[in-house]
Amino acid sequence: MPSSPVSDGGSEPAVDEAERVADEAAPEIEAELARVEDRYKRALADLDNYRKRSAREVERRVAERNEQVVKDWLEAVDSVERALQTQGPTNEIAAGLRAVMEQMEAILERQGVVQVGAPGDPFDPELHEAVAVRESDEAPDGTIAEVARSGYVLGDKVLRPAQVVVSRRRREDGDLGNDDSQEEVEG
Amino acid sequence: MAKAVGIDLGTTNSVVAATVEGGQAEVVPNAEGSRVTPSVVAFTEEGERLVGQVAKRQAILNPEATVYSAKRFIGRRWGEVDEEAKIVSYKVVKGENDAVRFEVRGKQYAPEEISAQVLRKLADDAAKYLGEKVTEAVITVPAYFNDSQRQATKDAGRIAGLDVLRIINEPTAAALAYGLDKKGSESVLVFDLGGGTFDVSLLDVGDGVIEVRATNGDGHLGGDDFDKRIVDWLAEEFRNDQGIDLRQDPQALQRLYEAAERAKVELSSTTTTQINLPFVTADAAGPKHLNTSLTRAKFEQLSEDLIERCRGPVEQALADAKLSADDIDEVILVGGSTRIPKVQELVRRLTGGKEPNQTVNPDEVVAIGAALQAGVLKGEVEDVVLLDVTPLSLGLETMGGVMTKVIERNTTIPARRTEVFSTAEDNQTAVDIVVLQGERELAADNRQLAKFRLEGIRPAPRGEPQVEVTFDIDANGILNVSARDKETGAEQKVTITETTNLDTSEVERMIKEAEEHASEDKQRREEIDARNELDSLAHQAGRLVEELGEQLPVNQKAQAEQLIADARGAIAEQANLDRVRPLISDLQQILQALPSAAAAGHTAGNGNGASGEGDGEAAGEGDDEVVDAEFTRE
Repeated sequence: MPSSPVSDGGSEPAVDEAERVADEAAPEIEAELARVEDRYKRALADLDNYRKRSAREVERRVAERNEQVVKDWLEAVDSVERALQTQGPTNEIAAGLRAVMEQMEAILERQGVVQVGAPGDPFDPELHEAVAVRESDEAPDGTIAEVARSGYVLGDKVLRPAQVVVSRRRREDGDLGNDDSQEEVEG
Repeated sequence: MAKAVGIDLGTTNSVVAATVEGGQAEVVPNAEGSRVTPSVVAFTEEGERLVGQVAKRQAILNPEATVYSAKRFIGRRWGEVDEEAKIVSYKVVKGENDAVRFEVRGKQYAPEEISAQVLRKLADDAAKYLGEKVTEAVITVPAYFNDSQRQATKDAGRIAGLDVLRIINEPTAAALAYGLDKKGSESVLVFDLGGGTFDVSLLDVGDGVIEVRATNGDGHLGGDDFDKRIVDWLAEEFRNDQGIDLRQDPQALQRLYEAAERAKVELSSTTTTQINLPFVTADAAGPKHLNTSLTRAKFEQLSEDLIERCRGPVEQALADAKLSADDIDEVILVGGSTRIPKVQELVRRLTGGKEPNQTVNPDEVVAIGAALQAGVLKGEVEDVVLLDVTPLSLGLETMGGVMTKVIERNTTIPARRTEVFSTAEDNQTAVDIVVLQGERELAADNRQLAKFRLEGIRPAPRGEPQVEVTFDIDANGILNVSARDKETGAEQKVTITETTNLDTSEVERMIKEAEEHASEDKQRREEIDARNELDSLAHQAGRLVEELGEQLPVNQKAQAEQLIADARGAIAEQANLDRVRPLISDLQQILQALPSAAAAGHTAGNGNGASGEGDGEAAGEGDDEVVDAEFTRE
């Protein structure tokens, strides 16, 4: 803190003069000091906030990285799933594949990864991505007719939406928009 | 406190950024954790409104009520959008006063209402992430937007409940993100190849003012076109092979698009990529797989005409601005597609070989610039002191003539570091402090800033005195180095004023030299460090032998003495690592073995042989922890 000039009563004119100059400068100096102090506190607060945010950010990045690894591996899971769908039920290879699939499912479960999207479920864009529409008279409107690729969630985070074919009641006009527009949206 | 953000409201995707500590700007992820949000709004049958990725996922089910590319319509007259209206899946109609309206589920929406939904989501998600209300924003628009389009964009912000601090041009925002406004007068070319649009802008930058001199572009050229080329190539190859057109199967097509985009991204960093789509389809004969590889050369061939389409607009913009390629001072790349090597090559060719600015993520650079502008308008950035860094490391010379860094290069200043050192010789009463600047391992290869001597250290065995050395560099780059003997309080210091006033070329030269010599320097440093360690071990062993004296079995004592002599010889001859490392390991063993050998007296003189091999990585035990290094003997 800058100490204000101490006045000792009967002083010489030269000292008075110095005192006057100092008095005039005082408000400016005080304002400057307040400004500097404010900046200093802001800098400290910034640093503190930065520290907190970095900690959060690190957590987020680690989680993101884990999700990425799981997501990449899901592609192998997809392949086994697809292989199973195309193999005959009595095939020996299929039996082996089914065991692998079960193992993969167990691993995913251990990691808290849950599969979403099954035929008959109502379509939910939070969890599912529509890749095609299928006209149907039996299935209820807006439900999943077929799962083209399974979706997975980890906690409340959608790792990958299920890609699904959605059923739709046949309509008289049959106006579902043309293919071009669909491509535009997908691309 | 409420926060002002910067929003890049794009045709296909939008990005929001905010200023963080120290006046920097960073992109804020949305609620789904993604840094970009599709500019898509959907109205479901149930009357629900979906925005972003979620809206995109249901687009195919709901094509007439999923609105995308609203930016192509905002602020335009009905008569201006014929072409655009034809290619979207939703209905575009003429409203009052020739306005453009989207007709969705029997209701009419203005394009600004749709954009407002996107803005609202971005602001809401940002508020959640930042933990502050978001009420104000700077929004970017293409440089070619007219007044009506700018006004409509501003209205969109207002509808979203945002106070629009300013509408700025996208290329201007990109220039701000690189801090070009703080440079002198320059001509800047901004090359923006986004998902679906291509824009070129030429800017005049100087004294905090940025002016757009010319713009050009192609409203329908972008990353999606490159994906499509790969998809078509994959589908053709597959058809030639298997006789099936995958494009007829929506599920297969979806997988093709995903694989194509990934291949494209990978080919920006590798020259060949694998595309595997097992069980992509099936026929009577069984399942079919797509397995192929795509080389960068092939991709470049497939997209040659797309790249070529970027040329005309650049040349035209230059002509309109009456500039030649050589007049361009800076080039900025914006948009994910500018990561494609061939695109960068074209840009370099068209700008006289200039190296483009691309350190800021091209998908985010516009939003970052907008956030910085918001920060300036809110006065947040005003108080930011431009922080300096030390251009080169600062340190001192220690035993064996090596440089020990105390303040690392690129440390933000002001900064202060203290380290404790000791003596290298018994009864050393003075140390020389040699202050160095540079990145080389050996003291002699660095710049010597100052040299002073601290005297009055009480005579003691080497390694015992504690000399505290403090490097304190202030905001102006003035360096104070002080050395103090902790026991006697004797102190010496020096002030050096010329630490930061090296010119950049000098700094660059020194850093480059350090990089060039990195491996040989490291080798020499390792040798010196190893010899220092050996010296220290030999010294300890010598003292131990002296202390234990007659308690030691004769053969052990002789063995130890021989080893110490060998070590001293190796040090004197400046022996290399091959000779020094085994000696270190032998000495470490004997140091451990001697006390027990002595305790066992003459009777148990078998001792564990001191001939073990090892790489002597482990540091000597029982050392004084505070000794970081030792001073050279004067």
